[in-house]
Amino acid sequence: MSCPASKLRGLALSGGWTADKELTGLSDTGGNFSYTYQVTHEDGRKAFLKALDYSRALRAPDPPAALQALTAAYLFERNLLQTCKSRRMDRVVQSVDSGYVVVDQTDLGRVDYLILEIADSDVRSFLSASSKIQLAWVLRSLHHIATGIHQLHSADIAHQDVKPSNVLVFGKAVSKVADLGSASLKGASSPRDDRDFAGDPAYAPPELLYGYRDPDWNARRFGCDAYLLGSMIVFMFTGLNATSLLLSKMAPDHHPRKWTGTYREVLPYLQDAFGLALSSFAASIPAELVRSDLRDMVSFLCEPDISLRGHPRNRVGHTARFSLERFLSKLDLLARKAEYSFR
Amino acid sequence: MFLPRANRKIIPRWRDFWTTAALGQLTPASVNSPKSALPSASEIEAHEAWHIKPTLWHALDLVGAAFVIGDLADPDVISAAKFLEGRGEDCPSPARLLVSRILHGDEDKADFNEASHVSNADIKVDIHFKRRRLNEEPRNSILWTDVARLYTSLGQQEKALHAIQMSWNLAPDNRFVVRSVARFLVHIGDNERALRVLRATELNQSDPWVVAAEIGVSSFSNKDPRLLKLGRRMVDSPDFSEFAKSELASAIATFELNEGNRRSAKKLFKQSLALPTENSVAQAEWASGQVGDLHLPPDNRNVPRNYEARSLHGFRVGDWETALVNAEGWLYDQPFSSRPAGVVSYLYSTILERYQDAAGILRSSLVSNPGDRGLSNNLAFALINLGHLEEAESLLNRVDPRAADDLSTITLIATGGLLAYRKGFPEIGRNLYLDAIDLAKRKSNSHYSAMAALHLAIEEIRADTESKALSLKIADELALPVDEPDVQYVHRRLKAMAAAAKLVVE
Repeated sequence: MSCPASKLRGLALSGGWTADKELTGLSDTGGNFSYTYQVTHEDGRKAFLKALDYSRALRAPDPPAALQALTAAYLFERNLLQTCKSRRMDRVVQSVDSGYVVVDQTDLGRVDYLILEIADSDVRSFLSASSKIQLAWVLRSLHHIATGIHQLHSADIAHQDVKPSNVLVFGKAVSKVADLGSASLKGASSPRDDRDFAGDPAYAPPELLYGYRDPDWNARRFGCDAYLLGSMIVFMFTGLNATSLLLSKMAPDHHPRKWTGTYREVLPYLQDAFGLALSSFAASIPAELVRSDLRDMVSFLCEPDISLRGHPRNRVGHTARFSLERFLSKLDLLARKAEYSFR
Repeated sequence: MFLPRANRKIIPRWRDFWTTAALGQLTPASVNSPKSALPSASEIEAHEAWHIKPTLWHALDLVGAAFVIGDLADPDVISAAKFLEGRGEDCPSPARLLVSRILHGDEDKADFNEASHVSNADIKVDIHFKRRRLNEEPRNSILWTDVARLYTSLGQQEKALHAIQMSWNLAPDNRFVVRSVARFLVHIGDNERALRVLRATELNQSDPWVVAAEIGVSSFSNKDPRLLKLGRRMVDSPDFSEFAKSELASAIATFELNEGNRRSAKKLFKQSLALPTENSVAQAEWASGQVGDLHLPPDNRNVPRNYEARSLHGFRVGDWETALVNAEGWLYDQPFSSRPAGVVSYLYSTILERYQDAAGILRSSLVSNPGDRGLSNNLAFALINLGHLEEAESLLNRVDPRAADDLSTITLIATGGLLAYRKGFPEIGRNLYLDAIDLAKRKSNSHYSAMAALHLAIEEIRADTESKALSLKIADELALPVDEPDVQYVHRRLKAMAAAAKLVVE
């Protein structure tokens, strides 16, 4: 069924933007149904537009609730993006503009949208297009991802959905984290607070998959981000996210789809599988130069026991338990080492 | 020869973690549904992305994501997996392994192997690798438990104790760890501590597997089980699967049998066989002579690692090949345990007269069961028959037959008699055999009295003594009423010897 949000192509938008082409049709980005477009500014800049589809909400079983959820999520994301912009988070995809356009004169003819920086590709497309993946590039990209998450954390924002499709590559040198549709803001209620999985369950840390909800916000949200950063490191070297590598080392009966017990009951089995997964990960790193450090990082970031997750040195002193600063420094150092060794 | 078959109780088996998990014994006992509602593959972003861009890294992303949510039947996931398989070494190694499992393995079942012999050298290599892992993963309770089992198999009890303590400290409320710790403590004879472990864990209020172990170890230690009432409620509860309740029903049945409540025992044994573990089947096979026919399937092929029950069954019907092959499987499955070693050595020596093989098994088993009276007796028996009299004498000198009042006392005295005969002292030998027969009679053990009499007569004929006809007569009198196949088998051997010696019993 045709809806206003699907009719933006060719329309002139406020601020000098024009919608050029629809990108992937209807997509569920964080449960908020939207249409996406490439847009061009009068000055030639390209950008990415995310248009809200109210009509879809009206077809939901409970339209008022769906509309409320949609608008709340839109406003929440828009506010977060404003925060990112004002804090100059250069490793988080920024909003460029926002507004609305009236597509037709019906009651539902208004389409609200967000305009964001447009990337050249996501990390999957970039890696697939590369004939040979350079270790230095991978490490620099990981450093950028860690920086992006750290920048969000410094504003009390937890991303919660860092995954390959949400790591965008600009040019050949810059990676940024995108899509705050699943994010949470510390001290404020967030649209996805009541869900089992704030982000994509297919990448979720094990505690969420096994139904554990840590009462501590930092552990639940920043702990999830720490895991997802580790998961991106694993993905870059093994092609698998950390959870899939972990579960591949477990007995099939212990898979979350089958497990009827608690997270605490399954934890010893997760820890055993994690040891095997770490060995498998380390064996996939071609350069000995960085192998041990990366293994340590993943062991800290992806530790299945959330009470032990994070850098061990963060457990003493006043450093926040899930602070990523030590990982940032290490990734930067490793990237530099690799860059020098390939010169 | 000592044959360990009395006083069987439901003590937890102790296998390595992966085998235990593959046997399904580490799944939650409850019949609830899984907690997390995971989406299907078609609902995740990676699925749509693969449609739009079917590249190597999009395929990797989809396969990994689909594996996490457990939806591998989706046609697009299969096509991504096939795509990756076709890319050969372009696909990173861990992903290749996963793809192979998805396309060619059975994702619903863990790999499961029959038990096989593992040499001490291989065990040492395994320990080496696991210790290396423990340097990196000192909090891995599962690994500590597996290492403890390997040390136990090698008879290195101090190291095993340290490892098992580590595992218990790390995971005192994990079923695999708690049952393994209890089994280890029973192995080293510290039944009191085994009970303390089982009674201290939180699981003893919710897990039928742990309650079964508490009842089994209590019965084994002649103590009153503390969790009997709870256990009875659990076996009647629909909240637990039949498989999870199998050993609990069997443990309570054994308790009832001991108390003389045969009817109740029989009912519970039948319940234990609804969806049994091999331990429950072996217990039912053992109990079937006492509670009547439990309608056990003759083979129970569907029950994995069902070696002990098959061996018992083979023994009961005189099928020695079946009894031996499965007793060996049982020993490979529980290499630290003295019971299977006792049965294997009994079959090798008493039935098959393969003393060298018996001695090999016993030497190995005595490493993990140092000083075991029954195994020491059986090794001495095999050594005497191999002509290694000095070694046998030295071994027997280290064991005081009367230090404990058990069935080994009878066999140790009889084996002392055998040694005396072979050393050329028939009078001493005869007296020792007669002592053994007398003790067996006092214990109302017709099997042991018959066996001792049969071996006495064999030695008398071998030594060509004047009293050989009398001994043959006593042996006939004691063996004839016993309808157990091993007694009948040795009796036939004696008759053949007697015929060759032209001896006739009136």
